[in-house]
Amino acid sequence: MAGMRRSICTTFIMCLLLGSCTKRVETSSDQACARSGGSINAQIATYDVAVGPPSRFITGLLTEDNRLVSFGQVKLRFAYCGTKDAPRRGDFDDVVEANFLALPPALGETAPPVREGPAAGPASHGRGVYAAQVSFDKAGFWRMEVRADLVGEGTQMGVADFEVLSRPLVPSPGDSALSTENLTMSSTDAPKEAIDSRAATDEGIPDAELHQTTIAQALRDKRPILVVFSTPVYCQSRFCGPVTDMVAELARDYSSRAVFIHIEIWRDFNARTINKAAADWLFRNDNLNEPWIFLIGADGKIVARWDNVATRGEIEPLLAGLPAS
Amino acid sequence: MSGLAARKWARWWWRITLLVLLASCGGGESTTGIIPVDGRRVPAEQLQKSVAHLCTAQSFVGREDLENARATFQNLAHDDLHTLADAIDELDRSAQSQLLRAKNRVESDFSAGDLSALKADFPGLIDAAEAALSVLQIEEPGCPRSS
Repeated sequence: MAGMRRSICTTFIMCLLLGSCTKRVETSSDQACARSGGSINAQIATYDVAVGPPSRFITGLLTEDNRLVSFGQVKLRFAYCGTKDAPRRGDFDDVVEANFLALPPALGETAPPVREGPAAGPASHGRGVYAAQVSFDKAGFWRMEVRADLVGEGTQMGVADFEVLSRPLVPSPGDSALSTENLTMSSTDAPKEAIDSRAATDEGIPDAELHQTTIAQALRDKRPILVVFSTPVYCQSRFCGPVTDMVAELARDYSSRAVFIHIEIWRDFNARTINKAAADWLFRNDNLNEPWIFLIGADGKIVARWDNVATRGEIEPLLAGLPAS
Repeated sequence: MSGLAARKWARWWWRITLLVLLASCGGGESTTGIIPVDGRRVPAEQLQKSVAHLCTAQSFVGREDLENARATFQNLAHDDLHTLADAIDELDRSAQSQLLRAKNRVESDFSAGDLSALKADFPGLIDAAEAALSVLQIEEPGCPRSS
């Protein structure tokens, strides 16, 4: 009897040990939220996803060997996976086509030639994200599935999970712009770096035309405003692009149609102090993502916003549609 | 085998099995040389290589080969420099700041196509990247003397 008990006990402990050593294996399932990985590493590049009408959704794609996927179109599907307290297995919605958005070239550089895509390659072939207009009807956790028919490599798939909030964290189209007093060239109570982080490495404050006025003043003057919140030196996104340079170029071309403002994120990077205007607009839940661009109408309402990756092709038509003053 | 010997053998068999099983439990990915960065697990070697790629880019700059210098920097070093900067975010803000500033200088030099500025600024970027590696206690590979 004792031997039998020992044997049962041994078997039980062995099962426990074997169980603890067994790695969890994801089983294939038709249920969207139960599926695993894929060979593409998809990174959700949109910062602030919320329930509401269709808005820009962007994702960056990398292959397993860290090559960037660029050009052409990819197919996206989304599935609602419930909330933390009530998870669901979900089903994918209809397919959405997402187009490649190339990062603007750095000042003085030319954009790489457009290639057949989607294709995986080095950054010099083209760096950017895929964008689609997508709406979400429920707050909670969602899963994105991406399928890319890579040139010469066949169809590859990836998934990424993200949270959809019940309402945007950051001011969004239709909201009134925040009447903030950002730093300008005439601010004497702040270091030059707080006006533009490039002042740390350049001789002076670059793009002086972007630091002439405040959002509050432009709102009082009832002028349309294109404002970029960015930190050219301390940008930490893999998709960092010369967004401030692009806004400076737009300022030169469309100064009669809008006021152009650059707001530096950091008052003191080393001390982790954020400029107040940047904090008022973007600091949420102990976190701040950048860059952001907002187009504000003459009526003080936000017309459009672009997060993380923004291109001249998306912004220029809206500026061109504004009346010249 | 007597009952006593059998019990002894069973005890030893059980201990050996237990040891084998416990050892196999640790048979997954080694944690040595893995740096946690923003929820990702990045091999230290990958960050070390970013400095080696900077050395290669610098050697192209030395030979006044701007295009290969740019391609090496952009394709092989740039993203891992961002990862390196992220990795030290909570550890040494000053070293992170130095690294990002030095990277920005070199990027501006590339944008301007200014070879003499690149020659002047590349050593500072390599120093800053090596300082970031040392914050993470990763051995600094150093550039070959010829570069």
